[in-house]
Amino acid sequence: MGTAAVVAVASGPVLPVGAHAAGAAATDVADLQKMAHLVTGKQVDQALAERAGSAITENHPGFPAALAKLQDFAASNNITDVEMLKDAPGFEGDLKDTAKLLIGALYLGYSGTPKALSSVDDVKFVTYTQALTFQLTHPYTPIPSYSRWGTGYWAERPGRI
Amino acid sequence: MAQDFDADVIVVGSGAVGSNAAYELARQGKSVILLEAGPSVPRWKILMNFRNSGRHYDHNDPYPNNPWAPTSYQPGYLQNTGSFEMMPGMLKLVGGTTWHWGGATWRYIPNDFKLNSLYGKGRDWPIGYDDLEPYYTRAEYQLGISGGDGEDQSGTHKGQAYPRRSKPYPINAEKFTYNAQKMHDALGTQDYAMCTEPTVRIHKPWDGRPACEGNNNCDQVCPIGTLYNGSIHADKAVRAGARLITEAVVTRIEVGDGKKVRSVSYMTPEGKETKLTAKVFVLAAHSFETAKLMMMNEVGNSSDMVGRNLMDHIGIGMDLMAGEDAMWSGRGPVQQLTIMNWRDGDFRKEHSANKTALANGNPQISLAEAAINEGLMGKELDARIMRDSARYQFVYSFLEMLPSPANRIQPNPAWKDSLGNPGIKIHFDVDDYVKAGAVVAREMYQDMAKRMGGTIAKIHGFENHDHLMGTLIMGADAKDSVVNHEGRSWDHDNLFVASVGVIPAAGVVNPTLTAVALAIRSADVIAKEV
Ligand SMILES: Cc1cc2nc3c(=O)[nH]c(=O)nc-3n(C[C@H](O)[C@H](O)[C@H](O)COP(=O)(O)OP(=O)(O)OC[C@H]3O[C@@H](n4cnc5c(N)ncnc54)[C@H](O)[C@@H]3O)c2cc1C
Repeated sequence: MGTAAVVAVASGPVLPVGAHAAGAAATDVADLQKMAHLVTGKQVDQALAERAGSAITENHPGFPAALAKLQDFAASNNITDVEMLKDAPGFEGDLKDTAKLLIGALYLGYSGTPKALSSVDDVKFVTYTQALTFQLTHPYTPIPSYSRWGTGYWAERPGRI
Repeated sequence: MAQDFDADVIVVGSGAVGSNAAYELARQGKSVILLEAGPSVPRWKILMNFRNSGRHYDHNDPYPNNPWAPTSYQPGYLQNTGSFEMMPGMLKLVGGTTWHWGGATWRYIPNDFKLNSLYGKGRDWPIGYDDLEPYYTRAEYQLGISGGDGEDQSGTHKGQAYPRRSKPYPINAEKFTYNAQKMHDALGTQDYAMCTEPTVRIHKPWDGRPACEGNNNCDQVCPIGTLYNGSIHADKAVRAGARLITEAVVTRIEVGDGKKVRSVSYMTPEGKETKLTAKVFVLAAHSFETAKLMMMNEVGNSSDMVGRNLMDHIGIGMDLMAGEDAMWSGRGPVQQLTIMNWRDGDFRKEHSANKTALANGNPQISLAEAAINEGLMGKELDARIMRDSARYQFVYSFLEMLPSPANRIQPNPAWKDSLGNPGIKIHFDVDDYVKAGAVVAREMYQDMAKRMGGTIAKIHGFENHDHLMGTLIMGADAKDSVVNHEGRSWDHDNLFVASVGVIPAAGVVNPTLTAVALAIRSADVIAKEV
């Protein structure tokens, strides 16, 4: 079963709202990618957006419906990018929390709440090397465990490699 | 009548300490069985587990966590009853916990061995620095350590190489990281006693290990095998003729005539029990598990000191936002620059010493998480992540705990693993000596921040640092200690303990090199007797 289907199934009856009532898996996937772009201002590839969506949905079954509401909010207020979205009147509460869930999964590479000093918590893996945080910083620091920069690079002033 | 034995020596636990003892004995021609509760796992699998997990804040996460040999973060396995939540990282696989360590490999200084006679606090060791020095050297060459020969590591011998060494480090010290150099320059050598951290994360190849590539992942898993771990000596022991039995959880110790230990029994994951005999036994299952095993079997505890006197390097730390904007933690070594202003001196009569260091782990995911929680998004979020990542520095201090019998571990029958073995109950309170030492460390943090033109974002409260000393305490008197200076049980003369748990005075430096040196020393003693 594909990830998109997992999202649709996990969301259960709350998924088809408003403009998304068509409910076809392909539409949901397209929405996730579009919404990932909307909340981050970055092109996020489809597989990654899907992974983020299903990881979030595992802990928050209402996420697909909430994301659909956020999409409606953006559409009805002609919001086309993250800079407009963040200052839009009414972008608060559940709408903002939904955006933060998706931003978190994409920037951090996981979804859920880490519990220190325990082998058990609800954290779900999304990505490691594609985490948007590392996409920003990797000219200055190697992604841990992926250095190809050679012994001793660390003595030099950090800069774009 | 001559008695047959399964081996000359049985070593329980294949971590850095047990494996070094096993190797020394096998190398000297003894027949050795090395029993290990966990499995043997190749590096690539651990690395893939790490890369395919979102749980990077849990350093135990990529490692096997089996129901018969759980890691320390398995819920219920460690249960705290004291005011401090003592939750050290501990692994169960061939090579043990050094699969994910910082690799800092210090020697104690001579005064650390005489804490009580010099400063009236804690305990003295039953041996002095000079007794251990040759074994420190042997341990350093086994582990392949890079360090600064000419440096003062004590903070009290400015301009001299200290402590005394009979041989140079196998590998010289590397250059400071950019941020460490900046910090070094800002603090200034006039007022700050700084040196490099001796390390098994080597910048030149050694004994089949490649030079470090700066993956900045030591305390998770080194992807390329630069960082030493105990599996290297488990392998060497096997090549020297030792027999390694994995997934063998030792549960029983049997004492026979003349109070000699006759056998140990281990259980397989399925619960099948096998008894093995030997002339000498070495318990090296790390500080907590060794103490638990001895208490479960009422072995070696006539002093009632087994499991007591637990000392960790309880510490504090600060999140510092440096003035300089190109500091970028996360490049190369996870630790390197060390400040020894408070390692030794008369102040130890009043308050704990400290070792303070720059931690250079990559902090970016945590910084991003904080910014997202704050509600930042878009360009503002990116700018915050970049600004904070460029400036954030974590400075941390180890403080010197004193041994107190009240700080202890015990078997906890209320929790059982899949074989029915008990978990571990811990009672630990931070003492006033440490609390007074923390005040001094905090004052130093203020000064450091000022000199670095930075601001302190946060000072963290007490945290443990995985250095589990004291539970198998070494001493000169059978009444108040578990083992003598050889690591030999006072109660059973063919039972030895090899562990950081034997250390009677914690000092402020990472203790594993000392435990390996002591284990090699014990192995020499044992080799003469079997
Ligand atoms: C994140 C982290 C960073 C650290 N950094 C440093 C550092 O920089 N410098 C330093 O000096 N120290 C450091 N330490 C501490 C260091 O890892 C330990 O002191 C060291 O691993 C102890 O070695 P050991 O061989 O005694 O025990 P371990 O390495 O824990 O090995 C014990 C072995 O015994 C096995 N065992 C347990 N019970 C049984 C049983 N009943 N039967 C059979 N086998 C059993 C275990 O499975 C394990 O493999 C760090 C620790 C952590 C968690």
